[in-house]
Amino acid sequence: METRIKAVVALLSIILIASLAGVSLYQGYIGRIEDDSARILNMRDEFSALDRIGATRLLRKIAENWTISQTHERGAIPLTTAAGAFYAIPDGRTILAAIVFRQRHVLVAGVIGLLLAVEAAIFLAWSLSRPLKRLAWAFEQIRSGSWVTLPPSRRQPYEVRRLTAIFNDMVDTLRRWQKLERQISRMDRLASLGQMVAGVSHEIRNPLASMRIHLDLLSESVSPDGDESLRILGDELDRLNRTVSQLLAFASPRPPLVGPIHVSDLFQWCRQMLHASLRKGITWDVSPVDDDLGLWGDPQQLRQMLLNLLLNAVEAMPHGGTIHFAAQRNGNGVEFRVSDTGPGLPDIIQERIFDPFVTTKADGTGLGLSIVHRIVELHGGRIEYETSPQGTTFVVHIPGQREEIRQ
Amino acid sequence: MILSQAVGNLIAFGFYAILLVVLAGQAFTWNENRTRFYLAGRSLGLRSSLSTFCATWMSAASLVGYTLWFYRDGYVAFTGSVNGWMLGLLALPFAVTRLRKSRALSLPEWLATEYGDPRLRTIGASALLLAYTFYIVTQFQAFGGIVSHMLDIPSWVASLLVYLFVLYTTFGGLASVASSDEMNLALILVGVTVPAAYMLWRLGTPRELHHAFAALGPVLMRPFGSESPAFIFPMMLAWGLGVAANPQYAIRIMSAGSRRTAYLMLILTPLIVGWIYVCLTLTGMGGRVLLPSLTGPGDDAAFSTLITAILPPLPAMLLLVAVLAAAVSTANSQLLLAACSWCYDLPFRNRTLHRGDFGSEELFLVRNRVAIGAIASLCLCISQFPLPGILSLGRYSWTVVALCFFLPMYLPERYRRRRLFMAVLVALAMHHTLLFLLPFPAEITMLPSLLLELAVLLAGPDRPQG
Ligand SMILES: Nc1ncnc2c1ncn2[C@@H]1O[C@H](COP(=O)(O)OP(=O)(O)O)[C@@H](O)[C@H]1O
Ligand SMILES: [Mg+2]
Repeated sequence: METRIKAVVALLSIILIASLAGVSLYQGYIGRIEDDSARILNMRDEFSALDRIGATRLLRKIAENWTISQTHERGAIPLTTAAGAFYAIPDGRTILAAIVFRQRHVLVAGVIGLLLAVEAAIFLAWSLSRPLKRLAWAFEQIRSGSWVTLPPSRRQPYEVRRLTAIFNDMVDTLRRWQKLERQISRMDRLASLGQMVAGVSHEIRNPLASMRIHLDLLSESVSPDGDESLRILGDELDRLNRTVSQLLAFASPRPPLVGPIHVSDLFQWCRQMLHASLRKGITWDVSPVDDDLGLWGDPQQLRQMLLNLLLNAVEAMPHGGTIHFAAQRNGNGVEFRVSDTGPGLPDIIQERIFDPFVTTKADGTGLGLSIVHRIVELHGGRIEYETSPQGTTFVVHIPGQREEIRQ
Repeated sequence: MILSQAVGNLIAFGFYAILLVVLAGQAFTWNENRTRFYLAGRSLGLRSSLSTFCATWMSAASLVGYTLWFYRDGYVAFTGSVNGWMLGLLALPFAVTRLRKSRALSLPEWLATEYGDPRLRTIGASALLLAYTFYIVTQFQAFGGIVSHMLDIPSWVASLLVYLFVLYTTFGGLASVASSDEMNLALILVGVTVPAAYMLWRLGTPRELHHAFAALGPVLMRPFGSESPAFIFPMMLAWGLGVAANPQYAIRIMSAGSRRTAYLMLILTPLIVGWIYVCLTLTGMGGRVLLPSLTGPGDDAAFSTLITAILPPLPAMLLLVAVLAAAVSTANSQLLLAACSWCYDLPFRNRTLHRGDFGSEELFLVRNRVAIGAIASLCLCISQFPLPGILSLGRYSWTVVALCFFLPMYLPERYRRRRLFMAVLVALAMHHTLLFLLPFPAEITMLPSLLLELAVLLAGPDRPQG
């Protein structure tokens, strides 16, 4: 681009300079010849008394660079002298050279002008190519995976501003697309995972049930020494059973059995469930809820959802802290809010906390939040979170209208 | 005759301008960064390296100065200047490995990293900035003087012309400088060869020319002329050291595409530069034979009188273009280095900039261009005032550059842990004391100072680790 602009500007200025200089030289030349001719014609009479040498000398005096000749040429002026008829002839080349010399400043100025014009052209090219370059840089960045937007600037020309705006728009759209795509691929993954998990869980659940029964039967006939081992065995079996139920809840959830629910009942239940943990230095801070605050939903699933969130909050604060638990009407739905004062979500899993089996806990299953997500989805709701090193807040929005709940 | 000569020169000027605009100078390359700007991406081929090296070597001042010196004093000019310069050239191959090993972008940076002391960078860059500023001023002056005589225009207009030429080629960084230098070298070669050929055509073989020259006076033939060797020798040495330590050559070693290219460049340079000096010698000799006495107010006037008197219009025109090309090619590379010292090396300048980000790299290069414009403009202004001491000031600043860079570049690598900064300080102190106390030029007092620097460096302890 620079080369092109430079070439055009250089050509233009050369043409301009050449034509200006040409015209000025030509006019100077014509003017000079005319002046000289006029002067010679004025003095014509004085030549008649002179011989050739004298005539030459006189001619030199009145008009530099003219010569006397016997032959006729263009622009010649006939003179009669004592030695016969001659012609006064202008020596074009020398005259021209003299004029060029006299007008050399014009030419020098021309060269200076040419250089200035070309340098201006370079800056023009630069100011044009700079935004392009910036754009190319931004595309490069995007290709290598970092989302950049270009800061808009008032000083840029309209076209560039427009380009910047379009670019930024495009980046936004692409970003949203990418998010969407992630969501879709997550759903795909979950679907196939879910099928497998459901199959495996069913296969495990039945043997587990019979193991439990037989364990209970066994406890009667075992000597008291084995009691402790039997108790541990039982606990572990229960734990296994719980995990499998969780897996099933996540993998092949049953559709919600929708009915009217009082939020205060839900709160009551959660409180009872968490009673044991509350003694471990955790303060329980429940915002009062209206008695008539209610919604439509599956009570069992919603309880599970809140419990999972609350358990996570408790687990996030092994050294104590405050759990803030609130619900309020929002539009025609209800918004639940569970905050803790724990260390926040670990950075490395932030993108994937709702995926199954993502956990940072040694004995965690990583299913809690994925089940929460499932339930929220089934109720046609939204879940969001904010997290910082000072704590984490999960906000769940469950719509109130019956129609919005997926059947 | 005089008249059409001026016209011819004018045309030559316009011709050069158009050639330059058409053939050289890409100011803003698409994917530029500082390595490209300062070192042409370290990828110059042999032809570019060689031409930019030689074209930078030949400055307007040396072209004119050497020819005139030879014209006036005969072979002593050869002993005094050419030998000195060639001596410096002989030293350069020894620095190739060391310079190319480093990833530094400038000589002061190289110095600081090699000897582990950032203060060296500041002091080196300041010396460089100063030296090159004065040097560019003298280039502008020399050229302005000659051209104002030849075209019969005010000298500031002539200086303004070179200024524009120089700016035009420098804006694009080293790559643009190198590509314009290819053209400049070609013009210099043609411009010195044609006059020399004309001399031979007019005055016979070189041998006959030599005899005719010898007949003019025996003093012309003496290798030391009327001076004593004791004066010429140190001068020669000092010049050689100046060349060997000159960052504009070091930079060309660093910017060559490969080590092999760098060596080849250094091997081929003497041939080309030698050829140029031979041609200038013939021209100076023939000039003296054709025009035995020359009276002029100053060097610039003398040179233009000489070439218009002894050469027909075309060779004279070509020689003028050669002087122009030499001035432009030397000044642009020096301008680039001065801007580099200012924007890149002086540490307080670029604290806020970091690499890799579009905005900051771009801003950095724009700053460089502003610096190039500012330094050139400053030089143009200074060159218009007839400051008397400027030449000696320029030579003085060269000696400072040599004191900063010569030893570190050529000392064996095992001394790189020595306290260089202290040695440089001591040497500079001695240099200035001597300059102040004794009536010698800076070139002479530099030599004992350099010896002292060496002594301090060798005797001194290693700098503490860490
Ligand atoms: N309130 C919270 N504070 C900090 N981290 C949390 C919180 N809730 C969830 N997490 C993180 O998200 C991960 C996934 O949680 P979850 O799906 O419930 O599985 P689990 O509790 O079995 O690990 C947890 O391992 C934990 O690292
Ligand atoms: Mg959990």
